[in-house]
Amino acid sequence: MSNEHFDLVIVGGGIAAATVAKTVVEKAAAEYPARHPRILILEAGRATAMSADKYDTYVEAYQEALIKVPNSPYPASSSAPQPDVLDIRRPVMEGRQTKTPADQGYFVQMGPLPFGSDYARSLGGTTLHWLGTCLRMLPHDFRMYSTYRRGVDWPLTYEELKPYYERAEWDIIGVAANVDDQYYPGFVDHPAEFFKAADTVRFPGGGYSFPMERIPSSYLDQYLAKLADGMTISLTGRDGTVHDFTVRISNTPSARNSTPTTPTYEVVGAVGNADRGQRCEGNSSCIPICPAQAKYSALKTLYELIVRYPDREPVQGEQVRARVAVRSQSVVMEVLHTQKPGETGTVTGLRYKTYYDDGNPPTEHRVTAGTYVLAANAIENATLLLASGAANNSDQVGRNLMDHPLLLTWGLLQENVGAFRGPGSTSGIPVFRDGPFRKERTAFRVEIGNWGWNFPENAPYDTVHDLVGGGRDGRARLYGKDLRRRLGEILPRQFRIAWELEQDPQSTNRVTVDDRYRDALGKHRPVLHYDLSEYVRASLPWAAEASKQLFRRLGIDETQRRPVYEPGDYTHYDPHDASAVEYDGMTYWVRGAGHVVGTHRMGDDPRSSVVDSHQHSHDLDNLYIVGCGSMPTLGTSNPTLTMTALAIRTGDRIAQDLKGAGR
Amino acid sequence: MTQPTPISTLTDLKAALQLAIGVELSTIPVYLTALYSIEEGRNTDAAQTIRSVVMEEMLHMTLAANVLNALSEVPSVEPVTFQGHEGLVPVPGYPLDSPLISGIGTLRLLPFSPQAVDGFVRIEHPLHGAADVAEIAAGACGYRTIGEFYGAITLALKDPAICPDSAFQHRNQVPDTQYYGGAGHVVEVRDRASALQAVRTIVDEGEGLPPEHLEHEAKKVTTEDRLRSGWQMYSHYARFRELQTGRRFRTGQLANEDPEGALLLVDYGAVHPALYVPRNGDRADGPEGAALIEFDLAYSGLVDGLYRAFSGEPQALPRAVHAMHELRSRAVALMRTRIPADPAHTLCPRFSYLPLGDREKQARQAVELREQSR
Amino acid sequence: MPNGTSPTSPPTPQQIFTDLSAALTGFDRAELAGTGLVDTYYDTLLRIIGEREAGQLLRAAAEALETDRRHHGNEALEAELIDSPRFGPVVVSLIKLWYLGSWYPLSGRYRDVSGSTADDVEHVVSAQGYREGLVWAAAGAHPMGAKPPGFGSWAEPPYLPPTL
Repeated sequence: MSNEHFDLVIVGGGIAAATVAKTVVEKAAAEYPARHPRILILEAGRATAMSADKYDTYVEAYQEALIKVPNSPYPASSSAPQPDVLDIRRPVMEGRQTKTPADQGYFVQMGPLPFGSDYARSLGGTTLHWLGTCLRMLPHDFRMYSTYRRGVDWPLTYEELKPYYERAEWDIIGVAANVDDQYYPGFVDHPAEFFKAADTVRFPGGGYSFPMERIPSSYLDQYLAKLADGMTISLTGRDGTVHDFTVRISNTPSARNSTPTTPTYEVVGAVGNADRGQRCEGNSSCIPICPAQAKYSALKTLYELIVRYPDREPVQGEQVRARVAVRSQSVVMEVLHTQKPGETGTVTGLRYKTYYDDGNPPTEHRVTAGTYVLAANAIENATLLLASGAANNSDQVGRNLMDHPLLLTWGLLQENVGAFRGPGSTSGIPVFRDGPFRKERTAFRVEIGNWGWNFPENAPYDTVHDLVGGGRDGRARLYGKDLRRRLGEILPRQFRIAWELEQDPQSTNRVTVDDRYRDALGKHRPVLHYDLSEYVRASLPWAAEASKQLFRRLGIDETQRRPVYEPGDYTHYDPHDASAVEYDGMTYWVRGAGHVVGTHRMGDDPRSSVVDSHQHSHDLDNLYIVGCGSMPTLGTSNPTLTMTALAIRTGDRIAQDLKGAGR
Repeated sequence: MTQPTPISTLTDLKAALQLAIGVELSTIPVYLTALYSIEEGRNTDAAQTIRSVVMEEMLHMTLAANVLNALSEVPSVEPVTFQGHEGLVPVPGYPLDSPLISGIGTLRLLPFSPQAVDGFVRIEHPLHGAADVAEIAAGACGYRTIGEFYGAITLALKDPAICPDSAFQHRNQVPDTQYYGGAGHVVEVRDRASALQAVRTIVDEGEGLPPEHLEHEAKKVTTEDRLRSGWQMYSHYARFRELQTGRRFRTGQLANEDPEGALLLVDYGAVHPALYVPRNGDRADGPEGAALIEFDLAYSGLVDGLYRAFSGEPQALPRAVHAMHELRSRAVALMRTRIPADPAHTLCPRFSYLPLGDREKQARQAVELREQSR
Repeated sequence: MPNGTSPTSPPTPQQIFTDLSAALTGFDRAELAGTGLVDTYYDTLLRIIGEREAGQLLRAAAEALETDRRHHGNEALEAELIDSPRFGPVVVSLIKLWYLGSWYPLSGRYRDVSGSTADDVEHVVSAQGYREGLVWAAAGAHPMGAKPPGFGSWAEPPYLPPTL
């Protein structure tokens, strides 16, 4: 078993890892005296493309895939398997007990509901197929217990995290948005106040701007704004109180390249071919893959690191600098440590396996470091810690697993709005993101989808099947110019909304490990227990009712069903679907949003949290556990931006603490 | 030895810049024809090389337009009088024998082939392939190389007697933030210095390269280049020499040497056999003929859009970019389509700029041709 | 004249296939040729239903198309192919192939009579087939993940060419 030593070892090769590494390298070099740490990044999956021509093969793989799910372009090995939405089944329950777990694929689903999201185990991580939405969390999201007696408070406030949001938007991700478009509850008439800059050196006077102008709102967004802006949606609370919400369509900040707001901002194009991807080109496939690489992925940051800080001795005349090594196909099996139950301790090394897929058995290695960072995705971090018996004096590791349960509603509009063009979403309706109603039901975010019924009805495939027919009578219903014309009447009028519900932390929603469930390498597979609380479920009828009022405004409130195609509301939820959820006698489909959060929550109290506000383990003094897992509550923002802000803050701390480490 | 004709009036300088926009534009269809003829996913290195040059020609067009705008003249497709020669047309047709620059030879629209690449090298060689500038016969306008033409423009821009300081104004500039896709930065022209900087960028990157640059290193790629545009340290000439020889330059080699680095894999078989047929030589009627006309209409609209973007119309540039994307799809479709009467060849986009007055008639004809097959 | 042939020379099988495809999809032969897939899909058809059966289909198609051409209608195509229990299911799969770039298997009823080949399973014929699916053009869009229309194009009003 080989043994190596680094200043910093990071487990995982996604955005959290890349952000920590870049921040540590740059911050440590700026310290006095400057330090130049040697960093190792261990990635369980395969290395992904680091040049544009290789990247194109992933695009091709997506185009050739029969079913174009998020992970379809990214092959996984049985030695580092990854969850796939195609594997989602319902476990068989007897009351609250699991009779038969659903263990197709990578996850072992214990129920009662299946956890509906996936992630990618490849270099670059899930940013390979994220949508790129970059909403900050709202001030109340950090103070849920104090404000609404729900969930817990964060050990950080919005104001405290703000400088790191700014750095995440400028220095890591590159976010395109205009401040004036952001009509968040509490700041509807003064978005500039929400964004008032923390960094007054970069933004003299505090007037914040994003590094790039907004991604233009789709024609659909403009159409909706024309019809629905200013309308009131009225929803009734349990005690009969009527809550009025004024609709304003709001352009969504996103991690895709657009026009720089200042000539000094450098747009980062494709990895290994910077000329490409300097603007979003409208490929309309952000999920599963942005062919132009105009959307941020962690590959961009990782590529910069390995080009600027190669892992070799400086050649003569070269400046001393940090060194970053990336090792893929290297799965960390165990965190070695001195911790005894109820006490604190130190990490003494990592045991990892490197696999080859060429017929040779995997090899086992050990690595030690001054500081260790787990940044392997919330579920992977928790699985590894639980398997290692590490950092869990609080008994919170693996608990409070969250996602944004997502309710879809969809309809056929009266007019051609040009569906299937542009990024997956360019606007939303933020008004339901906060309000006093959060005492009794969760907030939700409204995402307007630009890709017709691609998500709810597998369009355009199923639309073609409906029109062309076949099946029992084996006869073409429509063909020739009639078919072409009819598709032109239907497809560009398809429209859908995703109502993304905040999920509250529940200790029973958790990741566990079970020695009976291991992958080909012998690593524990995640065993998931998952349900939606009454608090979340109570928002399902609200979202459904809000949708009805909006659709009425759009003149499409009449209920319709395929294969008939007339303007109307096509929303329907089949009770036999794996994602069906009952509430108050109604059935809903609740999909996963791919936001895997909350398995090693942060907090000030070591008895109720796993890490502190710097994502430093309460139990192990040289261990940081970073990523979405640290978030105590989720709010209604897609979590990647907040995770990135937290990772920058952690990177700063690690750089300060490097002390004599590095040269 | 003859000397290039100097530019001696502001009027001639403006005409020269109108023609300079056209010179930059004139090479783009030549490169695009080769680029779009490559079968999808094949010859990726060659395609990337050609594309990088196209992007820079686009930049050069923009720079020339910015200089012209700064001299308070609107870029236009209308013929100009230059050095006493009347009716010089900025927007070219093909095959093109430049009335302006005698050494450049005939520009033809050819699919990607050794012959096409030889043509590229000739365009981008400082002396257009000649060993000595004296070998080139001077043409009507007195410029043998693109370098001489830009040399004359540079001298005139430097001369306060031709253009006084007051002649430069910051107007109708395409800003750098609006330009993307590679090829470095747009210079906004506000005075003589920035005008000269804009012209220097055109000359340094491209086909106006001074002959002595052949004695320089062919390329010098740094860490920053690997992170940004790796092409910036490479002249067009060096890039096309690599294609021509099927070898990369090694670090430290001079531009006039034969590249001795890694093989650059080129497969001239993975190319659509497109055959350029001029408009008056129509061999395709029916829907194939319609597709050719529709391409020309789209190309004409794109050229107009670019000129509008160069005239201070802010929405014109993004729309021109959409038109470029559309044009690419149309070109690729044409190149896959066999010529009915000559099935060994496929259609070749003509890049024919149609006069505004002719377009309605052409559009009607395209509709009629499509209907022939229905 | 279809495909530029002289009035006397009979159309080649590929030409019949192209003309049939044009009648079934509503896209003319230049639009179909522009996808670069005429040869690929001709081969796909032969691979899946067999050359012998394809020969029957193309003979029936040639006759029907010729009749319809003379009468400026589509009655023969409708009667001899669309409504035919023998050719109808193949026509359905062929339309979907052109529109979606995927082959969708023939029905059990078809196979009960005409048999089946091992290739007659659902599959994406090629990445190019996906990219050139006619459904995207019919929708006034572009294939998801290919042929991007450029920055900000999605903010412009949609455009559909008038179907002739």
